[in-house]
Amino acid sequence: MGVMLLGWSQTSILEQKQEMDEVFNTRMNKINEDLLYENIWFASPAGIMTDNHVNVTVSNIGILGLNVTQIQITNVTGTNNTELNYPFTDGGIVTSQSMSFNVTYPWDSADELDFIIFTDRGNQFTSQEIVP
Amino acid sequence: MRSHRGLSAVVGTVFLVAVVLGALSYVSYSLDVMGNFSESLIAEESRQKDKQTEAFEVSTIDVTTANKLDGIVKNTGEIPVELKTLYIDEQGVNDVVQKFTLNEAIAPGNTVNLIDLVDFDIDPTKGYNMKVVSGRGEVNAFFVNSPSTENLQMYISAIPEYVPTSFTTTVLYSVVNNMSNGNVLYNVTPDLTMTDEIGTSVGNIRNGPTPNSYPTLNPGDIATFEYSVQLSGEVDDMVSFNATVLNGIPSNWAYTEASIQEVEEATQAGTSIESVGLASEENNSIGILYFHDQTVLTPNGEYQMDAGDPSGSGSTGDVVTTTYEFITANMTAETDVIPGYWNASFAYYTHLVPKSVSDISGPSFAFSMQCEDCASTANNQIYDLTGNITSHDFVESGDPDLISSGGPHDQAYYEYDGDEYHYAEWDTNSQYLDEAWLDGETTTMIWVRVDSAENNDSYVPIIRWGDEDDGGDDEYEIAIGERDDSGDEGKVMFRYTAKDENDETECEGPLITYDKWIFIAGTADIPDEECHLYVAEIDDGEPSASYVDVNNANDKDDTVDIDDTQDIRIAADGRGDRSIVDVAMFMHWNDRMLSLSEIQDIYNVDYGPTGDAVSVDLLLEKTDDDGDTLPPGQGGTMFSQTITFPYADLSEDAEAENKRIDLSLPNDDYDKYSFANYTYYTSANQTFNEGERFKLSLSWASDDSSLPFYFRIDDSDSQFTQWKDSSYIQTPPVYPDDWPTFTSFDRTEDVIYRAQNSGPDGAYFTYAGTRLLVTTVDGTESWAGVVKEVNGVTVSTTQDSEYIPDQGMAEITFSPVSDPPQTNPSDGEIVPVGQYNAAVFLSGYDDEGEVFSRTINIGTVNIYDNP
Repeated sequence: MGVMLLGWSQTSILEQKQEMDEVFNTRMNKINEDLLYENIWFASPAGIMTDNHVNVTVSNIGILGLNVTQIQITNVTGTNNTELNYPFTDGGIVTSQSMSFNVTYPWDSADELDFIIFTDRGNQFTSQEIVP
Repeated sequence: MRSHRGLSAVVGTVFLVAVVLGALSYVSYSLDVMGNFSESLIAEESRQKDKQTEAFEVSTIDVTTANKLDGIVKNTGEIPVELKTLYIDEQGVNDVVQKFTLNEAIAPGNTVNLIDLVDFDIDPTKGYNMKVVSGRGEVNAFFVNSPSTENLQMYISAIPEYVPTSFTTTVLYSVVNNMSNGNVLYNVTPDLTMTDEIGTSVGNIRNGPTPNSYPTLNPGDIATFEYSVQLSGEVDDMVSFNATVLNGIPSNWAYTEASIQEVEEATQAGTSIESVGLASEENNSIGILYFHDQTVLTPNGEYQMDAGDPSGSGSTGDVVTTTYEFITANMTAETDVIPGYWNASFAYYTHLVPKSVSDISGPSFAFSMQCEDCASTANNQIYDLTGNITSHDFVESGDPDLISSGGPHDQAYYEYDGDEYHYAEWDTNSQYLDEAWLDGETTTMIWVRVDSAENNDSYVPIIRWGDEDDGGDDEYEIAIGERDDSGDEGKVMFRYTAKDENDETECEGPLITYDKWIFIAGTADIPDEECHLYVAEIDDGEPSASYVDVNNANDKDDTVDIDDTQDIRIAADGRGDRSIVDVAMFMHWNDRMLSLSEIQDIYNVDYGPTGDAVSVDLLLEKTDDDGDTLPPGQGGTMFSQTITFPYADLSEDAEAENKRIDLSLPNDDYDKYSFANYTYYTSANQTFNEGERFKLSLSWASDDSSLPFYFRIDDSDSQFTQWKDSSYIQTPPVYPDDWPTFTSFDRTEDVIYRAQNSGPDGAYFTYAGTRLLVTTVDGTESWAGVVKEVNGVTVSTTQDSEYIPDQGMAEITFSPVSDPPQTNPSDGEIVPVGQYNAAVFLSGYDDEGEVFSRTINIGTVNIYDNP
């Protein structure tokens, strides 16, 4: 009985340690993730882009690599609330590096747009721009 | 049976120890995890704190002469900053944003030059949005040449809004950086468009914008640009000003207008009375105070200053020798001058050289290359400005071009192409002989630019006496190099010969800097065969010493014999050597050697059309009734400053006026004068209590390097009678009435008084209550003039005035003031000569049937008898 009790206690402690590790790492990695909107600019149809489009350059300023999974652009001007989502499968950015996303969006001059970037750790980074 | 009780205890203890160790191991691990967690949190918190503490700014942005982007970025925080990226977005270019990787670390307080990090060709005429990003995520966005994303607050005003033709108005354009995101604007450059609303070519920018641009405009800062715009044309011609910033949002601009108008004079026919109105109207004063040369009624012999027309033969004030004090009559009621612009305007001319030189003697002759066919003479003649030479001026050979600006001080100049030149005679037929031979002390100076095409030319004549091809006569010249000496190529030379070219005195100067405006002065003592040469680039520091030569020949000859035709040349030597040079001015003294300090004073004069060649002190004061300045606590000194005016080039209008305009013209000749104004702004009311006076003083600024300044006042002859052509100060509007006047009129003449009905109703004046009354100062005697006409229509006991509509002017004619008041008094009934208190009574009714009546106190008047 003593052996059983001892075996159970060691197993239980090991499981607790693993769970604690996972929680700690997940939380800390999420906390340490940081992203900066370096530049957002708007362009009318040009080259292969046949519609108005937006270029978003973001930089990973955290201490861990991150993976952008989706960009959501929402027009918050008056009653025009066009919301478009752009999923990405190759949005990995190592620390101190940047990446540009060029997406088609039907903007007009003076539109007020909200940008939300989602990462695979569940973080959301927001920015707002007024189209010149 | 053996007992195992002892073994059980041992086994139990082993298990217990194992369990306890397991528990302790878990607790220890947990604590370790907690410790790591805390450390991670602290590290993250530290990173966030660093992120917040990090700060840098773009201190300046420049465009190099090679049109490369440059600027300074400074770490203004307390921790090191690493600049990661620069984004440049050129306005108007779609779908292209350039990204530059910087990767430059800056220690706290240190700076880095952008040109060391990026190689970017910038077009100064285009706008750019730029953004610098740091490694921690600090972003600094700014705009170069353009605020392209938001409207800016802009203001523009023309001051004064109405000017007479040929006068200038000052256009002030202000831009406020009120961008919402705190962006800094760099290189803010104004863009002013003038449009003729009425008339053609009404506006002409004489100067501005000043400054050309603002290198940096921080959030909340204001950039103010000033233009001086001359308006020319007919009355009511109008020009509009549309101002924005270069590469700004097209719909973001400011607008104002200015037009040409004659002043509405308060008085006519020798009479000067306050501008007034009916009982229901608002004041419509214009705040003009003319400078008079009369001292009657002033407390200490000051000159009068009031709205009365210039009268009499006029005077020309010499500010160098006299401090001119002008004072108003004392206020008849508390008077407020509202905040606004005060504009002191002068009809003036200047001497050709600074006081330090002119006190001894001005040049024997002087030429400024300001006019083509000066005074409509033929062959591109240029004439002497001193008046000593009135014929045999310089005439052209070939057709040198007159360039209207771009000279050493942005004035006009003549351009000689290597074939063209100007020449004048110095022989028995020319007036130059009146200036004596070159046989004593001389000084010759010239403002010249030698083209780099002359780089390989061993001899470049600039100004020369003596024909090289005349068979052995002497010569006197300023040149680059020497015709017969191969060792002086490229050097500035001043030399002359005597005794049939056999005896040379030569000052050898420095190598010429090509394509730059150079000031060259040579002085000579010809009998002693001594010369001095002074050379300095314009805007590069005055000449500090001379290059000297003293010829030790024993056979000294005291005459440079240069007698022949075509004896003085600009840009030629008379034997085929002609120069590619530009010449803006040329002066010569035939009687003395100027000293180094005199030459430095002349060098330092800005002879340009917008320069500061004249300095005078302007003092505006508030005084008591006795003319004594009120103490500081009562605002005695309102303004005290040295103000500047540009050199008045006499030849500027010669061609248009078809006459010679030089210093010898009489002082009452209108064409001798230029016009300029000085404007300053007051932001608070100026209140004058009853009895106080306003005084203006103009005095020499004790700067002997300034050109002497002469201004014309109180001239009723020819063109000086118009507002635009006299000297005056215009103040902001004055309430409740305009400035008080020193009214003077002839006792036997009708007196004309002007009033304006500013509405809202039309009105009639009646005979019964409309009078001009004068009373002795002690109040014991009185005389009055009855109304005779309003706007030329008779007013009598049987006829009221014509209808004066809303905004209409009424010119009211009173009979000579007499006792009893009547239309045609005899001489014995007319008021005697003297000083009186005067008032006007206005009476009538409006088109609503309401009766009005008003008494206007005019103040003290001087009544004289003009035989």
